[in-house]
Amino acid sequence: VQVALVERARAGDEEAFASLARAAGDRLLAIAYRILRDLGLAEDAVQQTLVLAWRELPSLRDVDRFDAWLRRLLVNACYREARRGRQWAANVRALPIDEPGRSDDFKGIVERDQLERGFRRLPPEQRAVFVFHHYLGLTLIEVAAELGVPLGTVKSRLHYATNTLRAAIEADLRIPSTSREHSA
Amino acid sequence: MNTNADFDRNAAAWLADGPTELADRVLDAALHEVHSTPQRRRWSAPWRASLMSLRFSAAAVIALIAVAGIVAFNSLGGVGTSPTAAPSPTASPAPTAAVVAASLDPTGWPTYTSARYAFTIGHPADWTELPSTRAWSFELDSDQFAPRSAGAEHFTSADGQVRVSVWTVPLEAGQVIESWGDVEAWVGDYCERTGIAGCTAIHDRVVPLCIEKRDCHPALLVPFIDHVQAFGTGGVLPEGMLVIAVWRGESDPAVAPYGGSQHLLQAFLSTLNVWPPFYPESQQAAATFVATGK
Repeated sequence: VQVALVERARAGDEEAFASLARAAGDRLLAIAYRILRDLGLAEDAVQQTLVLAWRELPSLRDVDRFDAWLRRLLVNACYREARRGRQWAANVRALPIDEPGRSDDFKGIVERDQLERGFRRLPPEQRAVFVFHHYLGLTLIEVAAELGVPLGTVKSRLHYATNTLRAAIEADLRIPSTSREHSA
Repeated sequence: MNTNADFDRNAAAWLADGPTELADRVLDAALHEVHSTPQRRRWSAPWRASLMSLRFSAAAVIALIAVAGIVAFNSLGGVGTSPTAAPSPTASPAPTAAVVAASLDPTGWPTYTSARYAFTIGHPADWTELPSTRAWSFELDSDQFAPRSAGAEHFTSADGQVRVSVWTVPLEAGQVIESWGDVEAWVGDYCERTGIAGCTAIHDRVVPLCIEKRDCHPALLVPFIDHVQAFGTGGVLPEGMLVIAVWRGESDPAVAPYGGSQHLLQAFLSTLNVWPPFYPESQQAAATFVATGK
């Protein structure tokens, strides 16, 4: 069904494209948010992606690759949003400490908070690789194909991203450990 | 978080937390904009058919590249030889062969030397020069409309319809680029970082070139959706990756008098000593790269 919709949209059928956009919108937002960590920027990126997809759809050769092509456009839109000169939003969300299943895991909460902070320090290219691998669950080879970069580049970006995040977590965990000792 | 497994598990859990639904207002706004946005016509360039056919026959690969190389070389007048009335690969706008040849004979072109980037390039006599005012960088230029970047040396045609820009991009420390494949990988990364539309399937479109005919340091010509760029490093070129762009698509009427943006770009490149593969060994290597990516 999707292939038929893509074919029709590629031929200029706006209704078919609207169906594709509705089907893909949630997924695109989820990815964009996880790369940009800002809902407003993510929504802008998705909107840009959909408009660009419509405009460039006639150049898509393999309609079976529509989803991957769309994600590629989205990542590029995220890069543009990230570099537009807007400050990364500093609205680190307060994690719900009393949320079921998490209330007894203080260390886990601290780590998530530090993941958030560490992630905001990563360049968008490293964020994209990290999200494609850890959120979409793609292998590194698949990430390389989706992002159109060499496998070595993907490995390098993931390596740096992981090191940065681990360093952020480990550096921060050293501080609260003292206060926990005092409170014990 | 002591182990990789712990890290991966926590990272996945952290990433899973967040919005997963697109607001209707965003979708509506996008579709409203779509309604007033024309679709871009399908990219087509006659020379692509030649390149595609290269993938099916090794013999055809070598033969076609050889012919293409000779034709392209001759079409540029061989710089220093008499101008040749070469047919335009796009042909459809039908500028006369004489006009194309006259426009693309770089023999008598004045030269411009970039103090910032340390290269000397020729340009048609009636074009104007617009020097850069700062160095090009990803930080400053990724979000700029490239034809107006202050980080590039620009050359504009007398009628103001065509602009060619040249600049270099610093390579990362330790980055080694020795082959067409290395240049292509670099271009893919550059394309993403600069937000150029049409970064997919670059290998399907690349045209291998040589910096210096004999030594054949790697360079690539890459058509994008609405312009064409060439990339090269090594040999006589300055440090970094030299980028030269014609900000018009191949079949844009503005570049028809030059036989298309690709011909125009190749004419500029010839003044930098960058050519289609000329010697048999470089033609064969180019054919292998086009066919296999290596």
